[in-house]
Amino acid sequence: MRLIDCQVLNVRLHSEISINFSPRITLIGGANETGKSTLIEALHKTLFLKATATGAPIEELRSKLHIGHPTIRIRFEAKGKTYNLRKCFTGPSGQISLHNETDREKISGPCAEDYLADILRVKESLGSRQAKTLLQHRWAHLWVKQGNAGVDILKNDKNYYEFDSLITQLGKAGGVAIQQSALDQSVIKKIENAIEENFTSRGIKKGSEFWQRQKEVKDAEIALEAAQAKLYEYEQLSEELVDIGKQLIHLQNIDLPRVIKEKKAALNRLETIKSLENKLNLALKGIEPTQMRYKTWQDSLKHHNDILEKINQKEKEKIRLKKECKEQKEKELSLSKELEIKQKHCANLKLTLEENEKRRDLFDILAEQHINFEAINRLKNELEEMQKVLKTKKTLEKKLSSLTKISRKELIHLKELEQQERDYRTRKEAMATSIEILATDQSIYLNKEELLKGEHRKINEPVDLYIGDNIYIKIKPGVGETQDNADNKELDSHREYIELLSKLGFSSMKLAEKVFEERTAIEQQLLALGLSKGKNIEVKLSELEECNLKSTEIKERLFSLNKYLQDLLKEGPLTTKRIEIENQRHNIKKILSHTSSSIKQAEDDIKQTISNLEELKKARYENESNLKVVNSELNSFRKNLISLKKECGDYQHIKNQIIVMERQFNKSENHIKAIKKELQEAKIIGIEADTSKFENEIDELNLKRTNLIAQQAAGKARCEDISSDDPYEVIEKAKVQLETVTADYLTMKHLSDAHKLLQQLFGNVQEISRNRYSQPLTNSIENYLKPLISKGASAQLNFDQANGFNGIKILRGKEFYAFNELSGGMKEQLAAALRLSIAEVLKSEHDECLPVIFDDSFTNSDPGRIILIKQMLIKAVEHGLQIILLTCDPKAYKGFADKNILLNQH
Amino acid sequence: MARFIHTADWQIGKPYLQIKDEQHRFKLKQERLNVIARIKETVRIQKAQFVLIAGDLFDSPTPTFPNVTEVLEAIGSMSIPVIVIPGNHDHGALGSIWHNDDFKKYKAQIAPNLLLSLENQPVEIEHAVILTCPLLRNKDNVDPTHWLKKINWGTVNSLKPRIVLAHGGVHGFRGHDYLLDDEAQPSSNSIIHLKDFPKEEIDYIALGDWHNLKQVGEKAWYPGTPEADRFDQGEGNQRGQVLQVDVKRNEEPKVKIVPTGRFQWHNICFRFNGDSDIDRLRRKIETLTEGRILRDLLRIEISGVLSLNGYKRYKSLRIDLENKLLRLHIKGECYQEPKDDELEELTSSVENPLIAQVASQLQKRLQDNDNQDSELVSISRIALCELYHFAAKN
Repeated sequence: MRLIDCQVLNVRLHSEISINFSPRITLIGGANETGKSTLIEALHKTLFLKATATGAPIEELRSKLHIGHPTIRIRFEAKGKTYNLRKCFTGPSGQISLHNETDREKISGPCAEDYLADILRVKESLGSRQAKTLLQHRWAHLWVKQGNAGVDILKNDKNYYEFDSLITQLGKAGGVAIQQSALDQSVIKKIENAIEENFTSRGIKKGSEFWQRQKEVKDAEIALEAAQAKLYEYEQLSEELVDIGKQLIHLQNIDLPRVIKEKKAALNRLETIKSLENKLNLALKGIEPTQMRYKTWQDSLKHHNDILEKINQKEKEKIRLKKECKEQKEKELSLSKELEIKQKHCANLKLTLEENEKRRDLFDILAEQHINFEAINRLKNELEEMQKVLKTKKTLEKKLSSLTKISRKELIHLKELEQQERDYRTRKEAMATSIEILATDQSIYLNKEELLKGEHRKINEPVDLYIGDNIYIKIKPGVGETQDNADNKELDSHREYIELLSKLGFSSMKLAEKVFEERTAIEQQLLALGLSKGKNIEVKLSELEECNLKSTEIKERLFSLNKYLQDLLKEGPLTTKRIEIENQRHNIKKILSHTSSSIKQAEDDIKQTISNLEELKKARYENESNLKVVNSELNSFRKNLISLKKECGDYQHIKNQIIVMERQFNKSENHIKAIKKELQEAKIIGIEADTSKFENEIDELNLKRTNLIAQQAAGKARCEDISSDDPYEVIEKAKVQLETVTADYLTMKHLSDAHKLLQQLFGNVQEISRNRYSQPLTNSIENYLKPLISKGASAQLNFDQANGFNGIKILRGKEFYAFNELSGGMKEQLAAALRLSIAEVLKSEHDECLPVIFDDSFTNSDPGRIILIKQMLIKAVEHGLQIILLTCDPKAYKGFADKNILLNQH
Repeated sequence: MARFIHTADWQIGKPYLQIKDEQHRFKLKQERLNVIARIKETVRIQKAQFVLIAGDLFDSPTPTFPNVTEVLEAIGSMSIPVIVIPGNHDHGALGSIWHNDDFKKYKAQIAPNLLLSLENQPVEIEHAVILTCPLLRNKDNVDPTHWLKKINWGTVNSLKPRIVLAHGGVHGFRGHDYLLDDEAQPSSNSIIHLKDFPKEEIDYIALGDWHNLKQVGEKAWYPGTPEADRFDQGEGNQRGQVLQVDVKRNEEPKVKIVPTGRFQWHNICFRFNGDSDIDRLRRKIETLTEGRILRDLLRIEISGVLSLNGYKRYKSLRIDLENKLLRLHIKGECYQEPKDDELEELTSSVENPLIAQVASQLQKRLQDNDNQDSELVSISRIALCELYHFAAKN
C-alpha cells in the first residue's frame, strides 16, 4: 500500500489542504500549530474509522474556523490498483466512497468500508464504540505519532504490532512454522513442576523428597561408619586381649624369675665390695700419723723460706724510700724560688691596672663634661625661642580682648532673627492690597487722605475709602485678622532682633559679622602658637639649672683626678672632639680587661705552685714515716728467723727430715693404691649391684601385671558391652540400610536427571523455534542500525508464543542494554529500526509497500546523527517502504526528502 | 568303631537383613534353629555317639542371649557329647560369647554335654580323640592345625580313632570367596595345609567354613550348612545336610550324607526380549517352586527391555511373586522403554510439535548409543518414559 496524494477539508485549522506524496521520502515541515499532526491524524482516521462514526474522535477533527464537515480524500495504491477513498464525517449520516480508478469501479456505504478494511488487512473499519479502545492500535507500528517515537512498542500487547500477520510472514520466510501446542506447554509445565518439587534455582530444595533421600544416604553412610568403627573397636579390643594374655604369661614365666635371679647375684657382689672397702679404710688410717709429721716439717721449711723472702723484700723497699726522700727535697727548693718570681710579677700587674682604671675614670668624666656642655647650649636656644612666642601670644590676646565678644551660635541666632523679620515683612507685603487711581472725577480719600489720579497705594491694614461725597468704602486687605497678625509678627520679630543686637553690643548685623571674623582669625593664630605656655619655660629653666650644677660637679671630680690629667696633658693636648674621647675610653677599657685577665692568670699560677709545693712536702713526710716502719719490720723478721732456727734447727736439717718422711709416705701410698684398684674392679663388675634397682624392677613388673589384669578385665567388659548389641548385626543392618537408601536415591536421581534432560531438550527446541521468528527481525534491525553504530550493530530479541516479541536489546560496548536503559536518541533510533523491520516483514501482505509515518520522531537525536538517520530511511525506501516524515525543523532535514512540503501558519 | 555326625556353619543368629519382610526374616532365622531338631532326629535314628560342629556355630562372636540359650537347649537335648570349636564368625577372643560368664553358666545348666574347646589340644572322649583347632581371633592367618605338626603322637591315645576338628579354607581349595554373591559374608582367612598331615596318624578331618558339601581329601570333608543360607553359586551347591561318619583307627572313614534342609534357594538369570517373555518367566518360576508357598527364595538376575505396558505387567508379576515366595531378590534392571507404537504416538504427533521433536531426539540418543547400560542411555530412557506419561491424555 502506497499513499499517492490526499486532500483534507474542514479539519481543525485546515480549510483545504492537498498533498502529493513522494513514493519514497516525503518531508512535511512546518512550525508548531501549523497542523502537521492534525493532517496525519485525519488520514489515520479516514483509513480506519467508519464514515458514520460519531463522538469524540470525529469531534476532534471538526473545525471551529471553517464551516462544513471534515471531508478527507486519499488516493493510494494497493493490490496493484489505484484507489481514491473519500470520507465525509457528517455524523451518523457520514459518507464513504471508494473509487477503484484502475478498474473504474466505485463503491460506497458499508460495503465500501468492508472492502477498505480488507485492503488494509484489518478486521473491520471501526465504529464509534470501538474507536476508543482499538483505533490507537491500528497500524500503530507504522504510524509513529508525536511523542511515541521513544516508546518500546514491544511492551504493548502483541496486537499492537499485528503479531499474527508478522508471525505468518516470518514463518513463511523461515519455512514451516513451529508453534507449541497446549499439550506441549502443559508437558513443559509438568516437567517444570516435577523439577521444582525437588530443586530451586540455587540447588536442591530443602525438605524435598530428593533432599530427603540424599540425606538418608548420608545418614546411612554415617551409621555404617559408626557401626564399622564400633566393630573395629571390638576387634581391636579382641586383638588387644590376646596380646595382654600373652604379655601376662611372659611376665609371669620369664620376666619375673629372671629379675629375681639377677637380684641374688648382685647381692653377692655387694658383699665382696664391702670387705675391700674395710681393708682400704684400715690402710688409710695407718698412713695418717706419718702424713701429719710430714706436713709439720714441710710447714717449718715453708716458714723459714717465707721469712727470708720477706727480709729481702723489706731491704729493697728501704733503699727505694731513701732515694725518693732525697729527690723530693730538691724539688721543693726549686719550686719555692719559682713561686717568689711569680708573686712579684703579679704585684706589677696590679699597679698597672690601678693606673689605667684612674685614666679610664678621667676619660669618663671628660666625656660626661662634653655631653653636659652640649645640653646647656641646647637648652639656652630653646628658652630664647620660647620667650619670643610668648611675646607674640600676649599681643594677640590683648587684641582679642579688645574686640566685642560674640560666639558662632550667637551670630547664627542673630542671622536667623534677621531672616525671620525679613520673612514676616515679605509675607505682609504679599498680603497687601494695591490701589491705583487710574481716572477720577471725584475726590477720593483714603483714611481721609486724598488720592490723586495716577497715585498708587499699598494697603496693609483696613482703611476707609471715601469717593465723592456719598461713597464710603471699607477695605480690608486679605482676611482682616491675618493681616493684623502679620503685622504683629513682623513687629515682634523686629523687636527680638534689635534686642539681641543691642544685647550683644553691636549696632548692626554687618558689624557683628565683621567682629566675629576678626575674633576667629586671632583665635586661630593663638591656636597655631600652640600650647607653649609658661610652664614649659619653667621646666627648661630647671633643666638648665641642673646642667649647670652638673658642670660644677664634673669640675670637682676632674680636680680630684688632676694628677692623672696632668700626666695626660704631658702626653699631648687634650682633644675636644667627643669621638676621639670615646675612642680613647674604648682603648683604655681594652687594656684594662687584658690586664685583669693577666692578673687572674698569674694568681692562678701562684695558687697552683703553692699547692704543688704542699703536695710534695706531704709525700716526703709519708715516705719518711714509711721508712721508719720498714726498719722496725726488718728487725722483727730477723728476730723470728733466729727463734725458728732455735726451734727446728737450720735449713739443711729440715730438708733432711722431709726426705726421710717422703720415703715412708710413698710406701704406704703404694699399698693403698693396690687396694683401691681391687675395689674399683669389684665395683665395675658390681655396678648393677644396686639391689634397690632390682626391687624396683620387681615392683614394676608386679605393677605391670596388675595393670594388665585390670586392662584385661576392662577390655573384656568393653567387649561384652559392645557385643551386647551384636556389632556384626548392627553393621549388617547399616549396610542393608545404605544399600536400600542408595538404590532409592539413585532411582530418584535418575528420574530427576531425566526431568532435567527433558527440560533441556524442550528448552532447545523452543529456542530453535523462537529464533526462527526473532532472528530475521533481529537481522533486519541490525541492518537498519548499521549506519548509526560505527562498529556494526548487534541486537537481541526474544520470542514467546504467548506474549509475542519482547526484550529487545542492543550491544553497546561489551554489554547488551535493554530498551529502557538506552539514551533518548538511541531509543528513538532503535524504535525506528524495529518499526521499519516490522514494516518490511509485513509489506508482502500489502503489495510490497507500506507507508511509515514519523511525526517529529527524531527530536532527541543530535544534528550529527540526522544524516545517519537519513541513510537508515533511504535503506527502508530501497527495501520498498514509503516514508513520510513530519518535522517542525525542516531545515535540519534539508536535502533529505524526495519531496518537501511546507505548511504555513494560518 | 565310632559313629558321629559332622556338621558346621550353623551361623545361628544370622539376621537376613536383606529381607524386608519381618515375618519372612523370622521364618528363615527360626529355621536355622529348627534344623537342630532334625539333626537330633538323625542322631537318634543313626545312633551317633557324638556330634562335631566344625566352627561358626553362631553368626558372630557376640550373638544375643535368646539365640544362645535356644541353641544350648537344642544341643542339651541330644544328650551325647557335642564338641564345638569357634570359627571365624564366632572366634574365641576374650571378649567373645565363649568367655562370657553368663554363657558359661547357661552351658553348665542347659547343655552340659557341650564340649567347647578354646585350645589346640587333643580332647579325648569315650569313642574318639578329637584334635581341636579353634580359631581364637578373627584375623589370624596362621594354619590352625599348625600345632599338630609338632605334636608328639606318642602322647595321643592310639586305640581310639583320631579326628581333627578345624575351621578354614584348605590349601588348593580355598572354598569359594563368594565373589558372585552380593550378600555373602567373608570366609575365614585361615588356610589348612592338608598335605602336611601325617596320614597314618589321623583318621578323619572334620572341616567347616565352606557352606556347600565338599570332600577335599581322602579323609577330609566339608559338610555344608544343615539349612541353606544363600543362593546357589556356580557349581556344587549341595546344602541342607549333615554327614554321618563311621570311623575306625587306621581305616578309611565311611561318610553318609543325611539331608536336613527345608527351604529352597534358587538363583536364575532372565532376559526380557519382549513383552511375551513375561509369561515365560512366570512359567519358569512355577517349575522351580512346584507350587510351594513361602518355602522358596529366588534371586533373579534380570536384564532386557519392556514396553511401557509390558513393564506394568512385569511389576504386577513381581508383586505376585513377592506374595508367594519367602524372598524375591531381583538383581539388575529391566528397562521400560516406549515401544514402536508408543513412540510413534509421541514422535509423529503433528499437533504437538515440541513433544514430537523432543521424543525423536531421545529416541535417537537411545539408538545411537552402543552401550545400552550406560547411565546416559538409562536417563534418556527414563526421560522418554516420563515424557510418555506427562503427555498421556489422562
